[in-house]
Amino acid sequence: MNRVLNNPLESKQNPVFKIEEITKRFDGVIALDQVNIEVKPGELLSIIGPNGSGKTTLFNCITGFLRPEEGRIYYQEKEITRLPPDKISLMGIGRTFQSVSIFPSLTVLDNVLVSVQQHQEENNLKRILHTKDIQLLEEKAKEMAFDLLEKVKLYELRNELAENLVYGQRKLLEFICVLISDPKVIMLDEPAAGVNTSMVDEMKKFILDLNAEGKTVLLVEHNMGVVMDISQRIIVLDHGKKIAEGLPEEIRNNEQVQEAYFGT
Amino acid sequence: MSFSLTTLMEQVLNGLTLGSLYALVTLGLVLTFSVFNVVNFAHGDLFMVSGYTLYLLLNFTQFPYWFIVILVILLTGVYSVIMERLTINPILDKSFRAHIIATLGLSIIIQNAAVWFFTTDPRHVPTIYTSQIVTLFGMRASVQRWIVLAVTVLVFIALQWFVRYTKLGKTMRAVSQNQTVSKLLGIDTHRISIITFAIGGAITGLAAALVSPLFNVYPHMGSMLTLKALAAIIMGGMGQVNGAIYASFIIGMIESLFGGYVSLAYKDVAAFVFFIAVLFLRPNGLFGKRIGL
Amino acid sequence: MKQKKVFRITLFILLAAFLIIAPQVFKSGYILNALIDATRWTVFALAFDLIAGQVGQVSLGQSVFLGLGAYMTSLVGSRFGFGWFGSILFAAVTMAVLSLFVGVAFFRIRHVTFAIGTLGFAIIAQMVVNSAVDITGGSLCSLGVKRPLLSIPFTDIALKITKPFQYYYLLLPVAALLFLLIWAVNRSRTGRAFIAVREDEIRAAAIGINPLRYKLIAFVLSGFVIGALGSFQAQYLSVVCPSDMGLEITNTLMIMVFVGGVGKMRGVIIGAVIFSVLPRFLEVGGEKAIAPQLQQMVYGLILILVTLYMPNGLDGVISSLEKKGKKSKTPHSETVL
Repeated sequence: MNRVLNNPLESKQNPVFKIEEITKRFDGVIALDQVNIEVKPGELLSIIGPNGSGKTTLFNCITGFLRPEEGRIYYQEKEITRLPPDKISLMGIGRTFQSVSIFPSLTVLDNVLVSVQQHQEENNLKRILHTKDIQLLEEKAKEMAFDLLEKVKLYELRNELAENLVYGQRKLLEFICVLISDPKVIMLDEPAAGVNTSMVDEMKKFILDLNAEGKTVLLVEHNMGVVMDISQRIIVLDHGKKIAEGLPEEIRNNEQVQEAYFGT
Repeated sequence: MSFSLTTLMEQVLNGLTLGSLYALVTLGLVLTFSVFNVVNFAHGDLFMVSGYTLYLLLNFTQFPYWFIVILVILLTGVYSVIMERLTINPILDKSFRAHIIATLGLSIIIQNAAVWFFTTDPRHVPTIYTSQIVTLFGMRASVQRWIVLAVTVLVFIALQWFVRYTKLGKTMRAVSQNQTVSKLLGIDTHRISIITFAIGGAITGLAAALVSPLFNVYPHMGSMLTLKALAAIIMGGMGQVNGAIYASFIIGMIESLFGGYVSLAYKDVAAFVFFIAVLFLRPNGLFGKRIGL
Repeated sequence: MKQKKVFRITLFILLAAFLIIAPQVFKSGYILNALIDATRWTVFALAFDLIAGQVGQVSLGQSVFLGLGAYMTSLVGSRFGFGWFGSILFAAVTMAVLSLFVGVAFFRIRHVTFAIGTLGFAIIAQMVVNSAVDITGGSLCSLGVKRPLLSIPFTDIALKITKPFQYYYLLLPVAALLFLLIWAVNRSRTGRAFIAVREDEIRAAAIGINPLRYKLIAFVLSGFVIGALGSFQAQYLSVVCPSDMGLEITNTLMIMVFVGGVGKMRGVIIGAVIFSVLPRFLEVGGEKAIAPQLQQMVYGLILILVTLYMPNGLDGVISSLEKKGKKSKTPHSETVL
């Protein structure tokens, strides 16, 4: 271990995620093949690989949308392999989707508010009776939402229906919907895809800021510039197998990785 | 009821006949469903209209039965294409909710028109073959029944061949895999839609022309048929043609055996309870593979 | 924003006042019966919309809860002397429980398959009720529902409800409570979660909403409301028939909700009022001026036309008119993006 490491990577703390030997098949095709990953608290880890290498499948397995056939996933020492996605979300794991996903017929503000309400409470009787404590929580949620909306310059559009937003705005909206519940882990599926260069820079800054605040960030991204720029550590998947793991410069010079991307 | 081999054979044969009916109706529906992903709630009503067409042709023309069968097949193909042009095609791009509402609307129109023209009284449509009894494989049944069974098997084989080995069949399969990509590849999806509905209609017409002489024809029969065909499609694993056919025969067999040995009044209930059980135990169908998300 | 709120409250008060004094103005039983129909169909359609509009699954089996709610009253409530309100409560609770079981079974499937499953449930339920002649009387209907008896506490005075205006005043508070219940749910955080589930179940799960739980909440609530309405109907018509849970009921619900504007309470109310009152205008001296088949055919045609040309229903039309009046601001302000 003679590398120069950033702080989180040296951490002796227990890993945030411990993914043990997970395997996922679709119709007999192996999407993930006995993958082992450890994510350390506070690190900014990117998962890269060619199309169809299993990156998004890995995200979906971690967040409970897919159930791996084999293997276990631990979050802060607790097994979450078979938990439903809503439970996993409430444990403080927020994520975005590759195809930008928002609720089109809710307003921009309601999109943000609905993303935090379950984290605050889930008392349907009180909600229907519109009790004082629910009103207070809603006020609190609104304050946080306004701050975030200002930050991404969507405040003026808060009462528009989300379907009226353009692509880049939707992407930012989805992003702050993840942030508002103050998750411990943020999993971003291609945040830089399909947006222009100035917004890519903006995204990079947002991600680095979050990481600096102490949040663990998992990134699936195709834009190598972004990945090499901001990642502290990189894992490479190819055909469902982990083929490399290391610092950005190590990955850059890894022959196996280059073969996976450009080779036969 | 005493148990005897003869009655058992009778029930099995009856189950096979019912299964053939459901299989043919399902086949027409699953074709259009698997290719365009539109569920047509008026499909059973097409069978009903076809049954009345047979009734009219048998009673008011002097044509021989085989010729009438061909006429009914052709006419039902035409009905089906009209239905496709007026209702299905305009809603292809819309949400599942639009599909349900529009095709249910169509079903309401057809059923009530049938009540208006023909009243709710069931009509018999006997042919010369319904009363001729023949013993085959140790089972006694009317010629009509044997025709139904034989034709179902033939249609099933013909369709397999058509979908696998003809250019048109292959194109239909391509469209069913991905509509958008097919459009990009220059496949005329409108044309395929018309052809699919014409074939689906023709099969339904064939079913009505052969099977209605064994049962009665009445205006509201379509709802139950649509429901059973849809149940078969779900049990067969959404859009898998062969699975839907097997499921149709299972439904027919359950109804026949339950009706014969337990209670005739609740035979449809038994089939439906089986359907619910399948939903619970195998939500992706009896033969389907489990697929995530 | 504030102006709109004032306008809404005024409108609401005026409407409530109208509903309360209506029987004093219109003495004719004809109009009162029309009012009763409009009121109960409005609540019924809103309950249907909880599923079709709010959580976005089309249930074609809601008529079953109306029919069974009515049978609960004729076969259990009336026989065991539950009283008029007790009967309504009993029907509502039993139908809510039944909804839970039905919901757990059918929400394993979604969208089109859900619609098919619930349609099957409706057809089979009606068939069972028709066949179980010993219990329900089959197609000869279940008679002998007691007329509601309104007794005043601590006195011997009891009022037997027989006249339309009396029924109307019996219905109004029940309908108002059910309406408020649906309204309170739809505007709450729970209602917001419904819409999230409707729009994108996967994303809803990703923000901590359990889609199945919210669909069940909507479904059970719908069953509760419809069960109560079924019980009222049994006491109002004093007879319960298998056709009370027929598919025509669902057809009528669909036309009310989809013409009015699915998922929008304002639209659903408009649709329900139009299509519960309209058929009465087509009657002449108690006789239907047009054949019921023709009416159903027209309904079918309207359903097709609405999906093609008016996907957001009358509510959508009103909304776009409102927007035009306001001189719409462009939503896409040119930002740095």
